Amino acid sequence: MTIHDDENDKKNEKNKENAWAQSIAKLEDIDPPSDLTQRIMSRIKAKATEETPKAKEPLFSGGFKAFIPIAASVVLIIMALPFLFDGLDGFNNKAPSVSPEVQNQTTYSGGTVATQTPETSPYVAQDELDTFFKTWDEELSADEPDNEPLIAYIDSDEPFLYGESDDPLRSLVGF
Amino acid sequence: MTTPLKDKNKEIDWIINTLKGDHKAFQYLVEQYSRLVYNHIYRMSNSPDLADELTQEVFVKIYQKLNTFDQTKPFKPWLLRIASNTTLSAFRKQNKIVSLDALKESGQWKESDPSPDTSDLIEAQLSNEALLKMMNALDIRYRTVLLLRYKEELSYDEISETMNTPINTIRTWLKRGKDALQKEFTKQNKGS
Repeated sequence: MTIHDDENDKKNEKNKENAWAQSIAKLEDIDPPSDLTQRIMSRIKAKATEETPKAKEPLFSGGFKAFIPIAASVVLIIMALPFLFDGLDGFNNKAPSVSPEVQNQTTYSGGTVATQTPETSPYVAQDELDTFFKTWDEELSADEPDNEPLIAYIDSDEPFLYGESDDPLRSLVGF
Repeated sequence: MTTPLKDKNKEIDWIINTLKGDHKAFQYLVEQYSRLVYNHIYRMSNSPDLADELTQEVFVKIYQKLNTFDQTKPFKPWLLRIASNTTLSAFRKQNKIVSLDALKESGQWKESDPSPDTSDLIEAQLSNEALLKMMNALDIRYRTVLLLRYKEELSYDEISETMNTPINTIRTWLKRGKDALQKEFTKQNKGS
C-alpha cells in the first residue's frame, strides 16, 4: 500500500464520518403532543403540593406525652441517688456528712437562745472502744466455765426457756 | 422549531424565580425546552409514547433538582444530561442495554469493514425515518453520544460529563457509532 493510498483511505474515512455527522445533525424534530406542557405542569404542581413541608408538630405531642412522667421520674431517681448512698453511709458506721457547725445544736432555754457546742467529739475514740470490749470480754468470760465452748450451754441437759434470765444467749448479749 | 434561549439572563431569571416558588417561571422553562427534551428522548428510544412519558419525568426531576444546578454553566447540557440518563435508566429497567463485551463474545458485534466512499449516497438516500431506524439498531450508548455530539452539538467535555464516562471512551464510542451506522447502511443496501 502506498502513502497515496493511505491518504486516500483516511480522506474517505473522514468523509464518511462527516457524512454521518451531517446526516444526524439534519435530523428533523417531530412535534410533541400539544398538551405536553400542560401535563408537565400538572405533575409539577401535584409534586409541589406533595412536597410542601408540613407544619411542624409541637415538641411534646401524641404518644410522646406519655413518656414525660416516666422521664421525669427517671431524672428524679438519678438526682436522688447521691443522697440515697449518703444515707446508706450511716449503716457503714461512717461519719455523717453534716458539717460540725450544723451539729452545734441551737436550743431555746428560758428566753435566751444558747448555742451548745458538744464538749466531746461525736466519734468514739478507738482506745475507749478497746477498753469497752475488753471489759465486756472479761465479764463474759467470768460467767463462763474455763475453756468451755459456748455451744455446751446450748447443748446442756439443763432445761431453760428462751428469754429467761438463765438463758445463756441472753447473758451472752448482755441483757 | 425551538432553539435554545439566546437571552441567558432571562433563562437564569426563570431558574431563580422557580427556586423562589414561582410556577409561572418554571412553565416558561418547560415551554422553552420541552420540544428539545421530547425529541432527544424520541431519537434515543424511537418511541413517541416513551418520549411523552419520560419528558414529563425529566421535567419533574429538573424541578426537584434545580437547586443543584450550577448557574455559572449553560443550562442545556445539564438538561440533556438528565434527559439522557432518564432514558438510559428506562432502557436498563427494560434490560435493553447489553454489554458490548457480551455482544462481541456472542459474535453479534463486528467492527465495520473498510468500504468505498458512500458519503454522497448517504446524503442522497437517507430520510429522517430511515436514519432513525438505522440508529435504533445501534447500542443505546453509541446512539446517545452520536445525538449529543452531532445533533445537540455538545462538546466532548460536556458529553463526558453527561455520560459520566472518560473523554477517550466518548471518542471511541463516537467512532464505533459511526462505523456501526456505516455497517448497517451497507447491510441494508445489500439487502435492497
